[in-house]
Amino acid sequence: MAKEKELNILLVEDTEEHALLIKRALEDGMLKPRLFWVHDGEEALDFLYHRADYADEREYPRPDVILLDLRLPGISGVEVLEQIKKEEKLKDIPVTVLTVSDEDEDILRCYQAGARGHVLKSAALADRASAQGILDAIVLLG
Amino acid sequence: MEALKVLIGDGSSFMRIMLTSALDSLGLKVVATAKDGQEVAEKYSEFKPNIVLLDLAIADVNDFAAMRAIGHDNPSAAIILMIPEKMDMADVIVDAVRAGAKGYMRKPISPSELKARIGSALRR
Repeated sequence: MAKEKELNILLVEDTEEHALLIKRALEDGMLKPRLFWVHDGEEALDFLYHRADYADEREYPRPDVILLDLRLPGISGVEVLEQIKKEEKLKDIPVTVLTVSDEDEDILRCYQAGARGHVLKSAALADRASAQGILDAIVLLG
Repeated sequence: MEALKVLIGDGSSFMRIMLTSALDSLGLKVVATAKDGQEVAEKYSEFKPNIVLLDLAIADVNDFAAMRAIGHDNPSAAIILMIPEKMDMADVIVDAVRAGAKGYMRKPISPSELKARIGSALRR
């Protein structure tokens, strides 16, 4: 039987260690979403606009939630967020920003650019159990 | 793995019930709910939850007393602030993080959206 709608998550994260922790936490949790991992802002925009390697819309569907690292090489996380919020077809996708930074300016920019949520990685990835709980909660509620 | 313990602080009994139900469905254990800041601090001290979901409306934005009390108890406490989507709370967010919030999520969190998301998760 075909699966009913899955929860698709796009994870934009350049640090492999963090991406693997997030992936593992989501696999451990109850949501068990389908996770698509891209490494930088340009690849994220390729995914969202179905460009380059992501042209197949069935294989790479519009995500239900985006988890976005703030500090990315090239196009920054905030720029990706701003682009998503400018685009009629994408602006309703909830974006939660994950960052190591607790600097005021970063947090303000995420907020002003329309992030649905913001979580410090220090809290979200403190340990396996916390990672699972916080990520489930932010994906569900954020 | 032992279920993760969550404390929900929200002035609305409807939200407390809805969030409790949603998080229980996910296998998280809502160990306590609280209707105001003082109760949040008391329940934190009593139950030592892993995660605190705290509504901005009861977070005492002038001094974030409840968050500071929790932070005094456990500086790494995972306090996630729930903030009204339609209000410009930019100035408050920065103060909240300084006071110990580890993140925020915007409200509203609609019952229908929650139901759809949990449904998607549990059908798999």
